[in-house]
Amino acid sequence: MPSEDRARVELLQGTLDLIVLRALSTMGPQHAYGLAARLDQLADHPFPLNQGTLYVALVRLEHKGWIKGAWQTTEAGREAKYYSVTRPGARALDRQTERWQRLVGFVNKLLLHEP
Amino acid sequence: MENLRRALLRLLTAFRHGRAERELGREVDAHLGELQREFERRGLSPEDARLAAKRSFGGVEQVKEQQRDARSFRWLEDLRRDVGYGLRTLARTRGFTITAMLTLALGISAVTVIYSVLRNVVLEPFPYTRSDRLVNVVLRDSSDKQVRGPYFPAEEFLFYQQQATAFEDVVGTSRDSMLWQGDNGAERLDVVWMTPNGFDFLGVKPMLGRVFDASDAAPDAPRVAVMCHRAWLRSFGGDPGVLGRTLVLDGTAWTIIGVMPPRFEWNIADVWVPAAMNPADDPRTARGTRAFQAHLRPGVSAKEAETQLNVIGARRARDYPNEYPPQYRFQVIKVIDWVVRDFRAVLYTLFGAVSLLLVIACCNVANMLLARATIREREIAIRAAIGASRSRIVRQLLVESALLAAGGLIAGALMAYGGIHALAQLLPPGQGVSWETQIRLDRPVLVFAVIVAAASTFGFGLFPALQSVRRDIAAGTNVAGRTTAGRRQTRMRSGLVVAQVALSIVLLLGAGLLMRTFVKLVGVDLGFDPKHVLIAGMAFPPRQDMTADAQRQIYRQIVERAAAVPGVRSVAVSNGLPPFGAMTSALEIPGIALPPTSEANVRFCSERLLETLGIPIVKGRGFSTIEVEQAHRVAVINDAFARRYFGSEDPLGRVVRVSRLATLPRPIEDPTFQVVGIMRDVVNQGPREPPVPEVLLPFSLRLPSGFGLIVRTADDPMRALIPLRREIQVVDPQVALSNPITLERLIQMNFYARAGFSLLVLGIFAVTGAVLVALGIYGVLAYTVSQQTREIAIRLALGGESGHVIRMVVRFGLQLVAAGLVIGLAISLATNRLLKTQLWNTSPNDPVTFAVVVLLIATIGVVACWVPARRAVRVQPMIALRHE
Repeated sequence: MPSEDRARVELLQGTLDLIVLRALSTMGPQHAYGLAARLDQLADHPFPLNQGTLYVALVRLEHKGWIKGAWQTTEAGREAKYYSVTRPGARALDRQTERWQRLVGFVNKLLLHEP
Repeated sequence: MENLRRALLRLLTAFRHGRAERELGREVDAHLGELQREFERRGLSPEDARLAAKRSFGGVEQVKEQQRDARSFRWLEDLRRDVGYGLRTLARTRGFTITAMLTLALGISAVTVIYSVLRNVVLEPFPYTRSDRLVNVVLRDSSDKQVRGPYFPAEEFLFYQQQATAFEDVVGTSRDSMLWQGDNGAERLDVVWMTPNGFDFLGVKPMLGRVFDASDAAPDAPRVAVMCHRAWLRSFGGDPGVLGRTLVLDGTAWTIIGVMPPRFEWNIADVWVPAAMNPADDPRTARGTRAFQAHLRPGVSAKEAETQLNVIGARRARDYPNEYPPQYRFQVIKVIDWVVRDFRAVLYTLFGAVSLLLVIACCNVANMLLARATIREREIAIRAAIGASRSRIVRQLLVESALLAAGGLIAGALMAYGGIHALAQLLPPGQGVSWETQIRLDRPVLVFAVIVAAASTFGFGLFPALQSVRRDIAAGTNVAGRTTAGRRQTRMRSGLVVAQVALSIVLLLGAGLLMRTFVKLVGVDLGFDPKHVLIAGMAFPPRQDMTADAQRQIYRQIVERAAAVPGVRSVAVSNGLPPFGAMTSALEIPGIALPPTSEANVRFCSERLLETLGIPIVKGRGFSTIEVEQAHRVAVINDAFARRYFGSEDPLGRVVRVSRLATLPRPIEDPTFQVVGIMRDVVNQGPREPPVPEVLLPFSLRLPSGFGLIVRTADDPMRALIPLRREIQVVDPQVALSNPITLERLIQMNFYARAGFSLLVLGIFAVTGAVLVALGIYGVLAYTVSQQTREIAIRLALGGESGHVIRMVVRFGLQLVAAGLVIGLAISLATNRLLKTQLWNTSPNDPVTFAVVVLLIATIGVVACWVPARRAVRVQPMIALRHE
């Protein structure tokens, strides 16, 4: 169901920033594989996060200055790009979290009050 | 904020494609590597793990594409790639690229330059406000001769102004020449007395200091003066400390209170000083007559003003009948028309010519692009077949055209700036070009020319794209490669060539006619030898004790000392600048009945004038030194005088009465003179008019007065200037030489400058046009030949003669040339009539010019045809066949 996937991906774009920022801030510096693996792990069912979307999100966040990429050696001795949250990124994370919680709270309230 | 940062970084990354790509590759490799390690850990073999990793990852290229879209602006990257490709393509065909750019540049710069000149000289020559309403007033009699004006007695003109409602305001000026005792010796300055409202009238603010107003013109106000920019640079070196300094003019001290900006040259003064509007209010003002200019009230036309003045004049004529001829009329002329006069015609002609050139240039570029289009059809078809979208192909072609246009436009703009500078040097000021004119680039015209050129470039550059999407792609890759569309194109291009040839003919004929005029003008025998002659004015300060005798002695001493300067061949004194500047007088000859309007030019000179100017004596003799010293009543007349007034009778020994001399401010009693000699005619009315009768009289008759010094030298006359000044200082330190100039330069400025200018400019355009046409013809034929390479090769392989092939090609080309010739000649017959005002002694349908031009174009045509034809037959048949 590619169209379903696509719809889900578009929905996620706004919240994807939040997800990646949060993941990086709790996990510490990660490379693309590590991040993808962790997100897969956390999700209950197969997470429709294709790699393309992830890479796009990483580029976007890096351009916005919310994360910073640095080339380091992995345990396997390979060169990989590790991303970490910057200070403006941390502030943005707080802002986005608050906004998400407000949104979720509002939607929940609506759902609860359905007759 | 972060969005801005993102946008900027995306922009930056668009230009860092290589690096970004490498990093992405490394990152993805690392990712895949980690995945593979994970699968290996789960027990798969390295090879299986690798494949599993790839599957798990998803499509690598798709992921990379998504990242590429996000990290930069794709359209920018595409554009960059297109530009790079376009540059490479253009560089591969350097000949075409340079020719096209040069053609565009020539067309654009030519139109811009000449229109800028037109605008600056004809349309807006003055920096004064309301200059479109600035008018002169003159009074003419029944024979249309100018009786009075723009100089009028002040009270007369003020009467007109008060009575008429046509004028908004009025300024009065009068010119004077005063001796300035400066630090560097004596110098004569042109001083203009101006009514105090003058600077307001003209609407120009001073650059330094202030200008004068009504209070400065009061009888007991301190004397103040405002300086002209050029004089300030010349005499004070542009020193801003000039304000407050004193100028001692003719013994009186004036304080400099201001300096005007450049381009302000009202009445071509060095210095302006205030004069009361009515001289009765201020006895200091020098003259009673002033030159008056006025501004018409908005909405009032010159004709209305004339009508008003005629009525008012009639009223005044009843009170002062002596001041008006029996029949008269007032004429109100816009100052712009007065100054520019028939130079306007010259410029409009040039503008017409130049527009033609732009059209020719665009035709050429169009042709070249069309030719390229056909050659590239194959390439485009292949690209479309591989998968390039239509828009992509069109975009790439647009970029290429844009690059071509950009190159041409930049070159054109540079050439325009350079051309403006060069032309500003060539323009003859004072000859239809006001002194206030400054030639500057006219930006709107540059923009216009750029748009025209760009439009034609884009239009014709897109042709191949439009062709390819209309036709079947497969047909483009067809081996035969030629379709009806190709033939239509050839017809269009041939049509363009015919148009180019026709327009070129028009240009060349115009230039040719001007050239004939110029050559004829220059070939006119002046009647004297203008080479190595220095002319300068000599003026004396107004001294109460200067008697005629004393001044005569000073002149004699100056002449003698000047003659002794090494390098000087001969020295003379004369009034005016020969052959110009003579007075006119009515004549009477006792014993001969002359019509009442008989008149002659009168010139006062010393005995060596004829020798100095190289004018031979035809009969009799010149003056002797004694005759000049003692102011004998002798005269020398010219041939025209002798023929017109004496007819077959011998003038020598006869008496002539020069009536005007008796009515001068310092009259000469009984102005009868005995003719002692006849001199040859000189062109005293300019080279275009026949000489008028002239009579020479000894200058000592008119002393005291200022005369000019005329010096013939062995070589460069200006080098004698300093020694001459020294000698004059020795005789009398208060006498100064003013406005020194060589006679040759004077003649050139007055006789030839305008014709020479027209010729030069039009000549350049005509030659450029011819070059463009040659290129155009060559282009079409080269293309045609290349399209027929196969046929030609087969023909030659089967034993055909190369000569036959050449003739075929040449005949095709010459047909185009012939068609263009006929059309061009037809157009010229109509347009050459427009040139009439600038031609002299040359008919607009001058057969010699026509013949030369036709021959020229025919030759160019033949050569332009022959070259590609020759190349065609030299191609090896097998190579040509394989080329397809």
